Amino acid sequence: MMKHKLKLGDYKFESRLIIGTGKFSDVNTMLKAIQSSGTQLVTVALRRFNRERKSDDLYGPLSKLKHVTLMPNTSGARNAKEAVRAALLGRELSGSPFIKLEIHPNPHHLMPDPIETFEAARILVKENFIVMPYMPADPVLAKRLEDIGCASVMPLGSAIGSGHGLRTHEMLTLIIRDSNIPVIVDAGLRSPSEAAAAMEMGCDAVLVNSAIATTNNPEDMAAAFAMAVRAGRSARMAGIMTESDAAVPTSPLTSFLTKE
Amino acid sequence: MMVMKSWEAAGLLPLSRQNRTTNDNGYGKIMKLVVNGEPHNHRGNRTIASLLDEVGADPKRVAILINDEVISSIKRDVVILSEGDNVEVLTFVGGG
Repeated sequence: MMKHKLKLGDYKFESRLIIGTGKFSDVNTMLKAIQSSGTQLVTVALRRFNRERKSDDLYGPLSKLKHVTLMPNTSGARNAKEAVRAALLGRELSGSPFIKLEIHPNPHHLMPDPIETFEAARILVKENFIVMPYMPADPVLAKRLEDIGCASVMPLGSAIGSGHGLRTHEMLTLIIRDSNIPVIVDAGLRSPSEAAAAMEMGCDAVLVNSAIATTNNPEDMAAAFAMAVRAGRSARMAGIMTESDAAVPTSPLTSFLTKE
Repeated sequence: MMVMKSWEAAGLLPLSRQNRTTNDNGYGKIMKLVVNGEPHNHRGNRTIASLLDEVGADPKRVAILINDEVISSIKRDVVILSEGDNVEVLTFVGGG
């Protein structure tokens, strides 16, 4: 049913669900969620090593998962220079060419800085990263990021961790319409139905973290998101019916029950 | 931070002190570093490997930044720490 794979740089993925590894209660819960989601791409963040909290280290557990590629993020970077540094560190550690570029200097709303993001993206493309920028849902910026060689654009549905869903619906539609690279909704999704809606709109993938990690049963929720993403994608590929203002009967209205 | 010449890195000269594990950095004194934002007294042989051993980090699971410079895995074995170096030892944690 899923004829086309998700293509990012030279990589191809069956799964169109990307999972963030933040906020899970423990490593085991996270690993179960990753496995039940069938995801092939997961994000990780860089933090200072802490001898007392070695259990926080995800590299060991994640590197044991087959068919899962790591995508370090640049979280914590407040400008392009810091983001490039974080990206280089992430690549040294992971060996992965993927970088989730995120620069959000304001801790209150965590909105991405479009100017610093663009500047960092330009440098990282030259450094041969597969650049996946988290960005405001802005069709002009999306085109500019595509032009300089980003592998995808990742516009936000709503604020990170807010669970406000697809508030940027209209802008996302415009981005999808013009984009020649995968469009991945990153941030804001709360429920599987919203992930399905994003895919039905024509998004190529979704990135989900809080909506899986913070639930009572992340393993089951991850599976639910995976099904929703598949359903939404299949619906999109099948071609969703056109709307009509008036009712259109589905049964013949022959009046054999009444006398003529 | 200094970078060793290839013959030093190969252990051909005592400067690298590669096999020394005593509390001797070759200068008979403690070297003061800043590691992850905290003051750190380095007693090892001034290599990154000995610093990681001191802080209890697995070399394969950390990335290193010294004075804002990303230390590539290739370069890691040829770096000699200097007094006052600001070292960041970073690891992967959960993040979205």
